[in-house]
Amino acid sequence: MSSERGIAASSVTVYAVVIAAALVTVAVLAPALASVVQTTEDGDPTVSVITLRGGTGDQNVNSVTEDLREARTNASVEAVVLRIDSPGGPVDSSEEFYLAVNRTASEMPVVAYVEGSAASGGYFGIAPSDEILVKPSSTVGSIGVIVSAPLSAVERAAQQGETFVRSGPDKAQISKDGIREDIEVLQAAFVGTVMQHRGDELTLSEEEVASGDVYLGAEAVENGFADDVGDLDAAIERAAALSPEIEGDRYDVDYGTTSFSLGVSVDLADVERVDGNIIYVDRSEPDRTEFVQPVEYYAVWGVPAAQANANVTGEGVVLGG
Amino acid sequence: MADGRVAAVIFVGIVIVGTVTGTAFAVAGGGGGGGSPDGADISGQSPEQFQPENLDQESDEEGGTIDIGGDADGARILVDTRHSNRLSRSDLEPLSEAMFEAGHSLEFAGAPAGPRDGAPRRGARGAQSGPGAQGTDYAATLEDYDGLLVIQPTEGFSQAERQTLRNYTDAGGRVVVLAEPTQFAVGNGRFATLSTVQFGANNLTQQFGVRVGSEVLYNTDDERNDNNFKSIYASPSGTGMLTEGVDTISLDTGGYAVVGDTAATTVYTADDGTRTLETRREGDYGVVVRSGNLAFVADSSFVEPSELYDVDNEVFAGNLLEFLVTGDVDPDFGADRTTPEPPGSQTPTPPA
Repeated sequence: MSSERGIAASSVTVYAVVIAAALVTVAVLAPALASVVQTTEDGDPTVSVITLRGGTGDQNVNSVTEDLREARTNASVEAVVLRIDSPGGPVDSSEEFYLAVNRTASEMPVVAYVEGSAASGGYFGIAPSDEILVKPSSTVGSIGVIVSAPLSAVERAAQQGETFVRSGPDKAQISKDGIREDIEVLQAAFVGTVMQHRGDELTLSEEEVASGDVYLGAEAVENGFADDVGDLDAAIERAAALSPEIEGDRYDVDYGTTSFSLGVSVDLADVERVDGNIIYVDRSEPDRTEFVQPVEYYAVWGVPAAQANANVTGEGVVLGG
Repeated sequence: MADGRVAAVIFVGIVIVGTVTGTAFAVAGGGGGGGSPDGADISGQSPEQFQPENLDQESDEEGGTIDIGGDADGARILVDTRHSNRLSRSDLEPLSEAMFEAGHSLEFAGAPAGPRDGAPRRGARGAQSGPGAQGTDYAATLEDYDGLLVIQPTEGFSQAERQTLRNYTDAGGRVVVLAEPTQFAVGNGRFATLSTVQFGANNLTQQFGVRVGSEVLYNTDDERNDNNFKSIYASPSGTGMLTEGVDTISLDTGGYAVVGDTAATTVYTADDGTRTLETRREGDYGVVVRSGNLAFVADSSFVEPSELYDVDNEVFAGNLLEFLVTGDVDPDFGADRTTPEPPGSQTPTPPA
């Protein structure tokens, strides 16, 4: 069973192992860390650079969300640069990403710097930014939602639904119409978000935005998916300039790149997934039926990585009378 | 560990990537200052674009009945199964029901279902030797039926079959062809495999001045599709039996009809803004065409139960069945038929 899949509802005991050790360590180290910081700054406000490199899955989004929360609650942070290289990911966590950036942008300037790509769920997250800077090679766009659910799988699920007793006709059922309806709802929320935050800048219609095309940096600046061409330093300077609390170049920059690790002993075979500081441990019992989430919706730019999905067999013709 | 798994207790290094300075600030007594306290100001966290009224994306309501009008009684319609047709008999059960209720029958090779009123059939030869059998005399088979329903054949029709169908329609028999544009199909195996599926009977329909277009159609205007850009709407562009009672039909992953003969008339056209999926060409795409006693639809999925009752699809399906059962085929149309092909000469003709 893949660790990427949802938790088996009936048989997985979820152990939320909040890493107390981490907190203890942080508490112990904090004074020293604070002193380090205090020795490198002189009371000037700070532009915090928060980095997301990778998909907008639970783990990455939780990490960024915590960083953003920290920026909001830190008195010295007056602006944020969101450095991003992300092709998106599941819709649910991409929405979390958006809401966290949205809240931050409501409190202080946020400038997004698209280091590589900010596509699909990645763009969902940076849409509320005050400004979006790109390079010529940056990729933005791909507004849309996909679900990997071959119709054969939908039909199979319908047949499987008849192998157990259900409480109602829609219980444990999926259908093509239902999936399409869900996709349209999620798409409407996604497109609506882009239009809400970028509508004044976009030269494209809502229908064109919803087509899901991607754009390189130069075209993105022209069509309003991005505001300007620039690098990280330019993004930092723009963020500082947008903050009324920052005067001129009197500010510090926090790149937030230092990392440290703590360890706990876990039977790796039992680890279902790791979500931020929480480890979900599978205590399933082998004789019990397990249930999995039938479909998951993605706001992602890309194609399925599985080789089988890309395997075109040629002039195959099946069925018959 | 006890069950033999490789379950050594492994030291899991959990790397906490955080902002050291930020952590330090927070722990060192940050807070207060410029922004609102976290969580105190949630304006914008329930944004307008997320409100339910802005996310209402209900599918078209499904309903209605398949009514088959006309004065015909006890008509028999043959469903073509001899050209590797991509169809499921179970998917056609709603059509079979409707035919039964109207006193007709929809029959497959080797499994004829008698008409409800027990009306005598015109000859028994076809029923005894199903059209899928080797060496079948195609004309003799068709003599027993009032109409022929051909759904997404992936093999071509032989020269003899094409001539027979020309004779059949000339003699008053009706033929409906449901065609799909070339597209991928996902296999049923454990690992999803894709194969290209191509309509095989352009060599037949071209005789009637129509063939299926090369691309799938789409429309991104939410008002002009049924909850998906590839489920397009089409409306009548003419009058007659095929359009009666229909305002809109929806075609899922359908194509368009290419008309090359003035004898063929477009009776349904895709809504404005419809484009071809590969080349993005916008145009007025005919999706249903009638050419004499042949009706051609550039989609076959609308007869599946999941699509059959969308918008006015059930009315359209009823019209197509009425078109078939009201054919007035001359029982002797095959009397002067050309000499049947010898066994072994049934090699499908490649689609044109």
